[in-house]
Order: sequence, then structure tokens, then C-alpha cells
Amino acid sequence: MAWEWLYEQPWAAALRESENAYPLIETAHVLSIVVIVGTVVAVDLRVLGLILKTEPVTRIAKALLPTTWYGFLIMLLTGVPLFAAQATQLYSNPAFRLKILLLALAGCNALLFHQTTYRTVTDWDYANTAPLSARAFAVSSIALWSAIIVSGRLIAVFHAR
Amino acid sequence: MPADSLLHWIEQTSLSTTLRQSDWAVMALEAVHLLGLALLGGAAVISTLRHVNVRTFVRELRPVALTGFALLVLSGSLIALSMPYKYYNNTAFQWKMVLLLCSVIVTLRLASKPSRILALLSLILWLSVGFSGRLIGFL
Repeated sequence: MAWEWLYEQPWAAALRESENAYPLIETAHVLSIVVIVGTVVAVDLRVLGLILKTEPVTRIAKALLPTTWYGFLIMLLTGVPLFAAQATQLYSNPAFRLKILLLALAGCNALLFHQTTYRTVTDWDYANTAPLSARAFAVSSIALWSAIIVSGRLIAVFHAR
Repeated sequence: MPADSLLHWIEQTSLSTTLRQSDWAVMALEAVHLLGLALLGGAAVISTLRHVNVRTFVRELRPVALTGFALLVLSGSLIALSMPYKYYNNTAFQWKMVLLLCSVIVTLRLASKPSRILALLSLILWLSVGFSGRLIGFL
């Protein structure tokens, strides 16, 4: 299986046995999630009309979303080695499975938003309140990312058992 | 040592005992702590970005940062109260408290006189608070 192959890679074994590298990469991983969630939630709150009401939605999205992608890149670059080092245990960890599922849902949520409601953004760019569909996407985005953080923390709880 | 009797008293309170003996309370508080970190840290990151008007964003992100800060202080205090001796004697925790004080001072200054330099300094200080917080578990 792919995760078993990952687990047996020499670099994965080295990371698994290292004393400092694992916690350091883990810290960078947490910080990358802070960057992703912080920027995504700020855009969501603007769509909901709760902050930055005087700024057009597109300006906020253009200023913040490139940083989200940098955060996403660091999340993958740190997350994949962290997974590889513990792949066989993590694969069966319910919290890890939930986190990956939620991550996929958050991705679909963002993709759907940009493919549907966001296409008409010029109609409500300056509006205090966006259309109901846009606000629904924003609320589910905040809920999904919060759940991703909580399930990420839960991985360690199941890992110890 | 006067601190010792205070720590002993805290440890004896029913709040501290309940949190310490619970299987899930501290874990749940740590999850809340991370949510608070995402809100406060996110606001700190955004304030330093290019193409962002520091003055507008510092003002507009204040409720987000304050919500994150409130979650962090509330969950963090309860976690510390659950094991007062452990945290009081932990070097990373002591550093974290000093850095936290510096961060709060710089961030208050940033709120009254927004500038990119202060936003950057504030972000670096909050990162160091987060980093020393991460280290607590390793000492």
C-alpha cells in the first residue's frame, strides 16, 4: 500500500527517529494552518458583512488569498513528511481520517463557491451583505476549518492509545 | 516561598482538580486554544501583508483578534490552573509569559498608531509566543 511504502522510505524513518525535526516540522505545520485559516476566515467574515464592510469583496480576496496558497503549500510540505513518518498508525487513526475528509470538504466548498456564487461577485462586490448562497459558503467554510483544527488536535489523542 | 502556597492552593481548588482528573477537559481546552491562535495569529499575519492598508485592517480586524485573544486567555488560564506546579516551573512557560506581555504592549501600540513596522514586530512577537508555547510540552 502507498502509505506503507511511504512509511518505509529512509527519510520517513529518519524523521520518525529524530528528536528535534518532528516537533519543529509540526510547529511549522500548525503555523501554516494559522495562516490558511486566518486569511480564509477574514475573507469569509467580509462576505458575511461582519468586517471590512467599506472594502469591496474582490479587493480583500485579492489581498489575502495568495497568502492562503503560500500557507497551503507549507501545510503540504510539512504535512506529507509528518504523515509519512507515522503513516501506518495515522492511516487507521479516526481523527486523521476525519481531518482528511474535512479538508476535502473545505476544498470542495471553496471550489464550488468560486465556480458558482463568486462569478456574480461584481453585482455584490460593494454590498454590505452578500447573497444568501455566498453567506452559506462562508459559514460552512468557517465551520469546516474550525473542525479541521479540532480534529488535527484529536490526532494526538488517538495516537497515544 | 510565598508562590508555593499559592500554587498549592490553586491545585487544591475544585476547578483545578476537576480539570486535572478529567480525561478530555485539557484536550478540549487545547483545541479551543488552537482556534484562538488561528484567529489572533491570522489577524497578525494579515496586518503585515502587502496590498493591505495597515490602518484599515488593524481597525477592522480588531474584533477578530480580540475574540482570538479572549479564547486564548480563557483556555490557557484553565490549562495552567489544571497543573499549576508544572507550568510555573516550566522554563518555556516563563518565557512565554514574558513574550506575551511584550506582544500585548506592542499590539496595543499598533492599535493606537498603526504602522507596518509595528505590525511586523507584533507578528514576530506573537510567533515567538506561539513557539515558546509549543516548547512547553518538550521541556
